[in-house]
Amino acid sequence: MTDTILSLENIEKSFDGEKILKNISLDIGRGEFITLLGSSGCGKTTTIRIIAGLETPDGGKVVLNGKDITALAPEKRDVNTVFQNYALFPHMNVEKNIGYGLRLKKMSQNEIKNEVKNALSLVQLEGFEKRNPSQLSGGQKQRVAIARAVVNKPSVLLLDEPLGALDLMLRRQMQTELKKLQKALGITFIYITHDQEEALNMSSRIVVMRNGKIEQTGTPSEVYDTPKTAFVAEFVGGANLYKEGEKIFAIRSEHVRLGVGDYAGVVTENSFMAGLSKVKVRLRDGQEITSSHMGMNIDLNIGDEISVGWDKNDMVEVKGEK
Amino acid sequence: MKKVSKAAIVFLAVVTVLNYLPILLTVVYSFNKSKLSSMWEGFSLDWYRMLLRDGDIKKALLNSIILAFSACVLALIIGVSAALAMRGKKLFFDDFISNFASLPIMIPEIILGMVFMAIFSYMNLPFGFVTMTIAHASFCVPYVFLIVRARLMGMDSSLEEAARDLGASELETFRDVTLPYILPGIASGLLLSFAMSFDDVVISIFTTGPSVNTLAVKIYTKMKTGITPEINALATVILVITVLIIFISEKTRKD
Repeated sequence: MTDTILSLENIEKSFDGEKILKNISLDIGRGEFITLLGSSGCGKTTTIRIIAGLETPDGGKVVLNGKDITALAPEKRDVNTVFQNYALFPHMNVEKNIGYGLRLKKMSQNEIKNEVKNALSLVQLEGFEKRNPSQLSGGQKQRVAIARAVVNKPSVLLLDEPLGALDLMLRRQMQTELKKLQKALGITFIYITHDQEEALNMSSRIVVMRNGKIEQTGTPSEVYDTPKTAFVAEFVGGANLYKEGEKIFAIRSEHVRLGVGDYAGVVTENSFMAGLSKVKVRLRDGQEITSSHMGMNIDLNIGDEISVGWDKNDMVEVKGEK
Repeated sequence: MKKVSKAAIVFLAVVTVLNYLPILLTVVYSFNKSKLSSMWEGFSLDWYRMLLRDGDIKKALLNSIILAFSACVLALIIGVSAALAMRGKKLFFDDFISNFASLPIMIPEIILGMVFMAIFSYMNLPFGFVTMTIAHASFCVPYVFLIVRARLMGMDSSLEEAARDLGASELETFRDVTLPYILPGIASGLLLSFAMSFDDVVISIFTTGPSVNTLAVKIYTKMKTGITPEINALATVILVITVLIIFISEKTRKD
C-alpha cells in the first residue's frame, strides 16, 4: 500500500475480562473498500467502534492520516459511522438529520440546504427533506443514515452491517449502489458483514476475522482462491476440506468433477438452488466432498455409486483443523 | 362485539356513581343560587364572583401556585439528575434504588407529614414556605424520576453515539439528542408533580407555618364551618385545573 489512510497497530480490547480483540494490526489504503468479515462475536464491530472512538482500546494505536488518534474523542475524528440500526434522530426530519453534522460545523443555512439536497440525490431520495424518520421504510432509513454520514465528507466511512435488516432483493440492490457510491465519492469504506457473498461482491479487500484475530487479509480472489486456513476456506464460499495424511487441503466444490476421477464414493445429497446443483459424495475413507456446477442433475439419486476427481492444482493446503 | 356480563355493568355503574356523583353534585351546586347546599334555586355565578372578591382565597391560590412551581422545579432537577445518573448502569442495587425512590408514593401521607415535621423542628427550620417547598419537592421527586427513567430506558444509546460521531460534544449531544428525547417525560412528570403539590393537604398542614396558607388547606379549614356554595365553587375551580393538568401530562407522556 503506497498511501495508507488508517492504521491499526496491535489493538487489544477486553470486556469483563474476556479478550475481544487480540493484537489486531491492519493498514488501510486511501480509497479502499475494505470489509471486515466474520461471524457475530468475532470482534469486527468492536474494531470499528474503536476506529470511531466509541470504545477505547486497552492497548495499541489508531493512526489516521498519519496522526495518532487513539485518545481522541469521537467528535474530533474525521470518520463517520453508518449504524446498524440506522440511529436516525427521531425528533428531527430527514433534512435536519442529514444536516446535523454540518450545523455543528457552523456551516451557513444555505450551504447546508445545498449539501443535504446533494446527499439526498446521491442516495436517490430527492424530495424527502421534510419527512420524519418514522415515515420511512427500512431501506429509506438506511439511505438517510448513509447520506447523514457521507455529507460530512469523512476520510473514512464506517458501515456496521448496514444492510443487515433489509430483505434479500433490496440488499442486492443496495450492494451495487453502495459500491457505486464509494467509487463516486472516493471515500475509504470500512464495511462490516457476516455475509461472505456480500464481502466477495463489494470489497476491494477482505479481512476475515475470527475470535478477535485476523485470520487472513486479501483481495476477494485471494481469499477465495487461496485461503490460508481451514476456517477461511469454509467460511468464504464453503470449500471442501480434504485430509490427506497429516495435511489439510481446501478444494472448491466447483473444481470437483463428477463421474470421472480417482475417488469412489456414494451420493448422500443432491440439491438444486439458484441455478446451482450441489452433490455431496461420501468417499470410501469416510470424508465428504461436495461438487457443484450449473444446471440440474436429474439422473443422480441418493445411494448411487459414483467416482469423483479434481486437479492437483486446485488443492490449496491450509492451516488449522478440519 | 364482546359480550359484557351483567355483573360487570352493575359493578361499573356502582363505581361510577360512587366516584363521580359527589363530584358532579359539587360542580352543580357551585352554580346554585341558594345559600343552602340542599336546595336548588336556580343558576348563578354569584359564588364564583364571591371567590374572585375574596382576598384570602386569592392569596392562597397564589401561594399554591408559587409553592407547586418551586417544588416542581426542585423535584425536576433532582429527579432528572438521578434518572440520568442511574442510566445504563447495571448496578446490583439498581432495583433497590428505584424501589427506594418510589417509596414516598407508597408511604401514607400522614406519616410523611409527621416525619417532615419532626425533621424540620429537629433542624430548627422556621415553618413556612421553605419547609413546605422541601416537603412537596420530596414527594414529587419519585414521579419525575420514574417517568424520566422509563423514558431513558427506552432510548437507544446509539442515538447519542451517532451524535458524537457526527461531531457533537457531550454537552451538544445532551442538548440536541438526549434532552429532546426525554422532554415528553420531563413535561409529564412536571405536570403530575404540579397537580400533586397543588392538591396536597395533609403534608402541607404538617409543614406549613402560621403565615402561609395554600388553597387546598384553605378549603380544608373552611370546611370546618360547614360546606358553603363558595367552597363548591372553589372545589370546582381546583378540579378543573387538576384534571386539565393531568390530561396534558398524560397526553405528553403518550406522545
